[in-house]
Amino acid sequence: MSSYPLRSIKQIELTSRCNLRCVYCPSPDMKREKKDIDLDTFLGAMEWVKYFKNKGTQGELSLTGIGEPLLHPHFVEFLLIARAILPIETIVFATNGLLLTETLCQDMAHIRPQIYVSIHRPELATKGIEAAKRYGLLAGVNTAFVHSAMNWAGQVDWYNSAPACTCEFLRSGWGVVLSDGSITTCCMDTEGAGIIGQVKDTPGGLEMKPYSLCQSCYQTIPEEAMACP
Amino acid sequence: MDYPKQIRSIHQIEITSRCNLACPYCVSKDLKRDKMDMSIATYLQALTWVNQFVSQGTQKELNLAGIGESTIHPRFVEYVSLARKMLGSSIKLVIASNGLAITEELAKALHPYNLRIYISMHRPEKSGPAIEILKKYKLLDGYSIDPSLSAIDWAGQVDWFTSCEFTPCPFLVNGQVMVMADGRITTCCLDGSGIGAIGDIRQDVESLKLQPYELCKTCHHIH
Repeated sequence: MSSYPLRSIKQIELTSRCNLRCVYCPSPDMKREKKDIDLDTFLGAMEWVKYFKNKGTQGELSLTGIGEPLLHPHFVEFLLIARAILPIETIVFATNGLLLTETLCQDMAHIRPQIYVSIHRPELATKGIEAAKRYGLLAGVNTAFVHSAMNWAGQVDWYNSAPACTCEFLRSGWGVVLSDGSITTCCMDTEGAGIIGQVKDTPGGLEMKPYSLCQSCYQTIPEEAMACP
Repeated sequence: MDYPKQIRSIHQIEITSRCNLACPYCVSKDLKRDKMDMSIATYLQALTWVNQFVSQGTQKELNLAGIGESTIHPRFVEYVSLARKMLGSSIKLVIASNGLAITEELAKALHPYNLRIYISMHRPEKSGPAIEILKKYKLLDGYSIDPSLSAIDWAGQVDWFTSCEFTPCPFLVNGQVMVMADGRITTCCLDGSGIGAIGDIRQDVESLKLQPYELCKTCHHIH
């Protein structure tokens, strides 16, 4: 059995709440607690980020999980904390754009997040896209859930049309911090079935492994982890 | 450019001006002309003129949609089959659709007529399954989410914005017109009130002339 060492915190789920209920998303039926990450937990996650940054394996950080990050009441403050720890690294987040206002973009401009807008509701996402563009924050838009779609490893009644590929979470050792402070194996873990640790523990020493969702996922398990840099 | 200009093709036949959505960025929700299905008599008359333009070599494509969702016309499949039978196999038949009414059954019925369907993703959760069905029956022409990424404000008729490229007006440049659901012929596809009407499908269409009209002043297209 191959080993897949955890090498970075790829995503921190700022909230597991959402303001939409899309049919192709596991969020509406999620049984895991819907909550905002608290400051202590976020700082705990950033300790892990610092640990991996010092090891030279951190890479880009996303402030998104299964939930709409802009619903977090202290989103901009948490983004500032992340920027303080990762001054030059790429910090991204994905949003449905509903709360992406001109004022918010103005407030975020100096923190330089790269924003991806998923267009689930074109009539509600578009003003946010335009605002993000004006402040140089728009990194891209996403409609892949329609034309390069997946069924969340069988968790939703939708179709897979995305081309099969190797799971980059296992291959590159990307961990995801859930809003309750658990560290899990991939971005599709709606119910926390792939949890391998907690951010409150001392950083380091965690191994990832394929878990239940991998069996029904359109992505394939890599034969081995990427060679250490 | 010299106006008035000769009509060279009937680019669009609006087989219905009704829609099953009311998108805030679309002129359909506050259309200032009748919301109606095109009658069979009007439709056949329009196809007769299309046939004329196809024969003289100035028309190669026909769009069976205007401001409305064509797939909700109660005789939609029959209208498509009539177009194919009257115009032959070489003309490209297209519609743009929001995909809400596209079912496996409809795709199967349309398959023999090679209608190309372009999906406008106004409701992604409906567009997705529609795209999958159309792929399966080889009817998919493409898809986009233009109101978000290549937006227009319908020449000032709706409270939205413009982010599309400014290109020459294909209607005025190519001498194209649209037949509205009531049988009147209008200058372009953005005409939500009929102020661009230049005549009626029951007239001698070839004698009608095209020129810029009221909406051109506020349109993103160049003329």
